[in-house]
Amino acid sequence: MKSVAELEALRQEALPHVAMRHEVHDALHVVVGMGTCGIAAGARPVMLKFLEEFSSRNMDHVTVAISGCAGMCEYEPIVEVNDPGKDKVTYVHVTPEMVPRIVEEHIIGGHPVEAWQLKTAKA
Amino acid sequence: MRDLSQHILDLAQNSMTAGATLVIIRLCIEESGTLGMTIADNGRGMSEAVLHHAADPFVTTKQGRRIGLGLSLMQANAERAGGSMQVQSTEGAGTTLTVTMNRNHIDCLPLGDLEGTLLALSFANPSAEIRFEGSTAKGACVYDTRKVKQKSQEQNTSAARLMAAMQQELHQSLNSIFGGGTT
Repeated sequence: MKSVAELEALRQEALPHVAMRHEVHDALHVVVGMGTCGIAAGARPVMLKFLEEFSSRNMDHVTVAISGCAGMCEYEPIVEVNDPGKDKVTYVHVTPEMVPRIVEEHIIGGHPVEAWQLKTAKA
Repeated sequence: MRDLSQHILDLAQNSMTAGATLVIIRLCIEESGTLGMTIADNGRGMSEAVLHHAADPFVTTKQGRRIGLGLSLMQANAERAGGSMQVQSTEGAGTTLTVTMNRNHIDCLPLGDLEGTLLALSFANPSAEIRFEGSTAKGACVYDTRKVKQKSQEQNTSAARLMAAMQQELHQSLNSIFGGGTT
């Protein structure tokens, strides 16, 4: 186990990042559901694809966060796009192949992809 | 869960949810086929009462839920492959999960995309560091997000480039002990 001093050093190191995470909610961010259900449904390659897209497009201002089970396991992998000042958009049954279009049309272009959202997928 | 790497992602995320700032994943595959894995964290740990029911699929500490499958699925998969799962925990100090499996057992899960799991974990929570220690008959390797972050800080790497740096570091480390692929 780690010594108390080592843990304290880690805590100090982590504090600015924790503060950053609160600020995250003022900026555009993507949340991938990564509970047990999300992972089993294939959330990992989806999250990695988002990271890769933002990294290759140099979009440092967009962050990728994860959340646990939202209670809608049958719709996993679930991805939420939170754009401050706008309604939250929830995409369901997301695959890595869908990610570039979500990034281009929604996150860059500002037009959410209707067909893949929770409401329309249900109907 | 289709492979061990998905379990690792799931279980390490439990650690992060428990407020861990450091998660240490050790994976040892002996030539005999014995696989040993531990996931140790410095999160808030569990009380005796919670620990006692940790692997029960109908017990969870999540708010507003009645089902928690992560540990019970891991236990089932370990036992199916001639192994076992143990959870040790000290309230306020952290939790250590130990899993053994027999790689030669026909029902043993494949390793899966370990690289993808460790990369996703590296970005899952900015305040949690990940350390992976692997050993096989080919040798041993270590991947530590603290090391990669320190290196990129020294080289002034942008956030966008950090992912590439981590991926490269991971790929090299894992390749050295798992050879051509991790599946």
